[in-house]
Amino acid sequence: MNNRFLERAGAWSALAYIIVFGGAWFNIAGFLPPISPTESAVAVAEQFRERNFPLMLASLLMMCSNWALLLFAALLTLIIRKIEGCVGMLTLMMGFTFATFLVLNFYMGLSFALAAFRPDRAPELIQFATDSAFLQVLGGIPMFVGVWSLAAYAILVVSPRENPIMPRWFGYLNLWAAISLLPELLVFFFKTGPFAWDGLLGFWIPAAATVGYCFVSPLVFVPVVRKHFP
Amino acid sequence: MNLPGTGAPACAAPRMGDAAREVQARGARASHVPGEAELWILILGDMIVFGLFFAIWGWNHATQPELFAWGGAQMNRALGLANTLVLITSSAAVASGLNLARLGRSHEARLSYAAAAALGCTFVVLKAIEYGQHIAAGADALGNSYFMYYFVFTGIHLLHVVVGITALLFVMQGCRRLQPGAPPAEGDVVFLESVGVFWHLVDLLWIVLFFLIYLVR
Repeated sequence: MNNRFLERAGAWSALAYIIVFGGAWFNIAGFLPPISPTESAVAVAEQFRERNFPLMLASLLMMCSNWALLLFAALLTLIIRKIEGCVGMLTLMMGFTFATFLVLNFYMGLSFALAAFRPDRAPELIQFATDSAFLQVLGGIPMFVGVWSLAAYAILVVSPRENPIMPRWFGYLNLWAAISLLPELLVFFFKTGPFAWDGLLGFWIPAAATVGYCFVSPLVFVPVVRKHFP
Repeated sequence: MNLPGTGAPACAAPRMGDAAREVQARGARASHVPGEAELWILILGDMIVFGLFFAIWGWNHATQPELFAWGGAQMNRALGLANTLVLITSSAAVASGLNLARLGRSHEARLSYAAAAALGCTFVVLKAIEYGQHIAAGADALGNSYFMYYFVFTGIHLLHVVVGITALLFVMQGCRRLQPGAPPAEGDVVFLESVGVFWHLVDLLWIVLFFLIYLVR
C-alpha cells in the first residue's frame, strides 16, 4: 500500500457514502418517501415498534456512513487547498463546513436510533426524535450547502480557466446542486405539499441531486487524484 | 434558442456580395454556443427546476380553480407588466452592452451594463412594493396555498435576479479593463456572453411566471 491509498479511496468515497447511506435510508428504513410530517405520533411510534430492527440497523448505518464522508471531506478540502494555492479562507471554510456536515450526518442517524431505542415510550417522544432526524437531514441545508457552493466558487472563480484542477462543468454542477437544495429550507414551514419534507422540492429533487452528484463524483475525482496526487 | 446578443461577433460580418464567406459566417453563428459550454449545465438544470415549478402551478390551478381565480384577482397586473417591461428592457441593454464591447466601445458597453443592472434593481424594488402590498392586505403564505406558491416561486426567481445583478456588477468592473477601440479577448467575450445568457434566462423565466400568475384566468 503506497502513501496515496487514502486519496485514492477518497476519490470513490462519495459513491461509497451514498451506497451506505442511501441503502440504509431507501432500502432498509424504507423512507421512500420519508414518513409524512402529517403522520400522527401514534402512527409514527407504531412504525418504530413494528419495524424496530431494520430501523435501528438503518440508523446505525447512517451514522457509519460518516467514515466514507470523512474521506470525501478530506480529499475535497485538499483539492480546494490546491486550487487556492495555500490554506486560505476558502480551504478553512470548506473544512469547517465539512466538520459541521459530519456532525449533522451523525446526529441525524442518532436521532433515528433514539426513536428506535425504546419504542414503547410515549408516541410523542418518538415523533419528537424522528422530527429531529428528518429536520436535520432535510432541513440542515444551511450547514451543508457550503460544500457545493464553496466547491463551485473554487472551481469557477478561483481556478484558472486554462488547465484547471477540476473541470469547469463540475463547478456548474455543484452550483446547480446548491440551487436545487435551497428549497429544502422551506421544510420548516410546511407539512404538506411540494415544500414539505416528503414533497417534490423538499425531498425528491434534493435527493435526486445528491444521489446524482455522488454517482458522478468518481468520474471527476479519480482522474484528479491520479494527476494531482501521484 | 437564439438568444439576443449572444451570437457570433458582429464585427466578424463578411463583405456584402461575398456569398461563400456569408455562408461560412452563418455556419459559424449556427454552431456557436453562447457563453461557456459548461454553463449550460446550470442553465438547463435551472430550466428543468423551474419547469417543475410551472407544472406544480398549472396542476394546482387546474385542481383548485376557485382559489387560483381568487388569487389571480389579488395580483397587481400593472406592477407585473411594469416588471416584465423592465426585465425585457434590461435584457436588450445586456445584448447591446455585449455588441458594444465586441466593437471595442468599452465605455458605452459599461454604461449599457450599468443600465441593465439599474433596471434589475428596479425590478427588485417593484417586487418588494408588490410583496408589501400583499402582506399589508393580509396574504398568508403559510395558510393559503395560492400565496405559498406565489411567494416561493417568485421569491426563488427574485434570488436569481439578485445573483444576475451581482454578475452584471462584475461585468461593469470588467469593462474598465477592456482596451478602448480594440476588440476584447476571446475569454472576455465568453464571460460577457455567459452573464448575458444567465440574464436572458432570468428574463425568460419571469415572462413565463408573468403569464401564469398575472394573465391566466
